[in-house]
Amino acid sequence: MDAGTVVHTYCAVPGATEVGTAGGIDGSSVSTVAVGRVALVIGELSAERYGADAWRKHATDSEWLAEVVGQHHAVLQAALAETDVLPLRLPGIYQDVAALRRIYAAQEDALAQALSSIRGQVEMGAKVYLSKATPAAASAASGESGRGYLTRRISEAAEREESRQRQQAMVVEAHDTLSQQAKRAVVNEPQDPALSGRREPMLLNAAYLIPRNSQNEFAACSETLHHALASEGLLLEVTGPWPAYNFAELSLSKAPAP
Amino acid sequence: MVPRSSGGLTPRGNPPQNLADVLERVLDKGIVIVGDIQVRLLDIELLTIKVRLMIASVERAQEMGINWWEGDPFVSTHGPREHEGDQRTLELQRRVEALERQADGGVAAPQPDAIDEKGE
Repeated sequence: MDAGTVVHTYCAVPGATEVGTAGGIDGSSVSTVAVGRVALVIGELSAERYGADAWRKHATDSEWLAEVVGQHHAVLQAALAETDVLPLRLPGIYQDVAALRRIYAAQEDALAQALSSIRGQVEMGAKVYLSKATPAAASAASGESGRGYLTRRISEAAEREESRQRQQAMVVEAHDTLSQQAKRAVVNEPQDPALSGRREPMLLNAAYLIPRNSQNEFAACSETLHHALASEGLLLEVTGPWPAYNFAELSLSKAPAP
Repeated sequence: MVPRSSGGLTPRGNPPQNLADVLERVLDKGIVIVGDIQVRLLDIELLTIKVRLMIASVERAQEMGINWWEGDPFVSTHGPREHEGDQRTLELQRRVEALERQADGGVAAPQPDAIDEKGE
């Protein structure tokens, strides 16, 4: 093997799966390496451009990261159209296929188990934004007495609080409803406005693991929710199907002997 | 290239996946196999912190009216060094530097068969 390359891991798929051979990072080809009952989807990349040092160097380079992350994800998304996909965390870089095999061999069973736990499932994402704030205080009417002003302010504050609580309850309810459609659900921290690119506060950032064949039901359910939430000034945004990023878990077995 | 989200509901079969959603998943989720000779726990921690730094710098850019994510996602953002007044950025930067010293000092030249002691 060329010393100038590293092996980049994309994801794990069921053994004997055929994946496309093009469309990897930097236009590289994509292939599979069998590890027990699973196959690792990998690509050989330039060590100089995508090795560990390159990762360190570019870790705050948003342009570089966005490109690599986007290309990495595209491979998983394409594989998802064909088969079950178990995402592997970036950066997954190995010296060569032999090193990769040695490390993964020790995790063979755990990997197969993790893959089987998402068999036939895809991930859907749901985010709820506060699209309309609770009613704002009206400007003071002219000639209003001090007492009248105070009374009005207090009742407005109570109204806002009520509306806020109603919105919160609706978000919880929406999550419950979507969770009922799902095998598993995960609630993540709301995205920072800098990351989401939206100024509205994010009230829910969740992911749902649903059977591949119940996507229509999930879509119908979220459409109903979308309308119900909109009437309360909340915006539901659904994304997917995604590879099961939020549900890829490994129960670790012992580390390989040196 | 990642398709961008337009907000609202997903048109069936055409998921809006914006860069934020992709970054959050790809960099923060997925199975971690530890024990590789090149990328260790330390590196992963370092990367995570650096990504947070990146987000902090994007945030700052946005405050200054540069809406980085809503524009071309492949436009460079400002490096964290330009925002040394930001307390959170400073804190993260110190942490990165400490980790980098640790990385350079402790595991300067990874040996081919050196398995991370923390890896299991």
